[in-house]
Amino acid sequence: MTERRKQEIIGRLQGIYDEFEPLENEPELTMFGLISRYNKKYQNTELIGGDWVLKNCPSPLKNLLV
Amino acid sequence: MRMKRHLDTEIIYDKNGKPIPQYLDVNDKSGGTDGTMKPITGDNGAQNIQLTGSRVELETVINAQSVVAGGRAEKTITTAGESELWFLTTIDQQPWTLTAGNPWYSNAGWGSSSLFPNRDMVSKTTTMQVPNISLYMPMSPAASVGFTAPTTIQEARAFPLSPPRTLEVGVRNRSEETAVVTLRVLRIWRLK
Repeated sequence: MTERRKQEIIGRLQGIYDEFEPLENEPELTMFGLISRYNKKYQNTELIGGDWVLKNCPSPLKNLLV
Repeated sequence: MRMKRHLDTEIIYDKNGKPIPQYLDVNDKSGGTDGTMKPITGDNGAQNIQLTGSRVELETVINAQSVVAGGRAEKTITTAGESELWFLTTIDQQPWTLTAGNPWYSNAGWGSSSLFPNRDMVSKTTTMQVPNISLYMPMSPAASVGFTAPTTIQEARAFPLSPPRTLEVGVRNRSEETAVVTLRVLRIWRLK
């Protein structure tokens, strides 16, 4: 993965995080919720998941509940 | 003025003149009207102590893994003498299947008969708040190995539950879309 692509993904994930609104059945954004939303919104050709976020993303993304 | 009351019984001493660990048996009046002092003993002279309760740990073993259509997220886990293992599956596509190995076939390709309830071709997605939960049964009771598969949790628990030292567990995405899978294991040690 190129650094440019990595930063693009991080930016998209951060956008999902910023736009998250708590729901009754989802009171907080978890790593599962983050990746699930990412897959629905974008093409996840690299199949990134929670471990990729922990390794590559800054806070608060890497601090999401796994 | 505060009055002292002396118990009508006798303390038991060791050869050095020091009181030993003892208790008052109020129902045995042979030692006095207040009861009889008796030594506290256990195996090898130690006190019998029984721990009760349980210890519970929840661990994420598959962390929001993206799984292509038809693919499988899998993990080999190591156990530490647990009394029971429960698997909590969270997945955003369906159908899906949860599988696990057993003591004689540790690969998750063994299938779903090691789990109760059986989670083969489940047609419902799940969430972190409300995951799908199954008890791990190392004996994999099913007709294929000469058992009648359990139909209740009580029947499932009637089979020995101590898991093997390692086993592989997997979640297969049987949908036509990429799925996200989080798998957690609830480890329970029951102290007797």
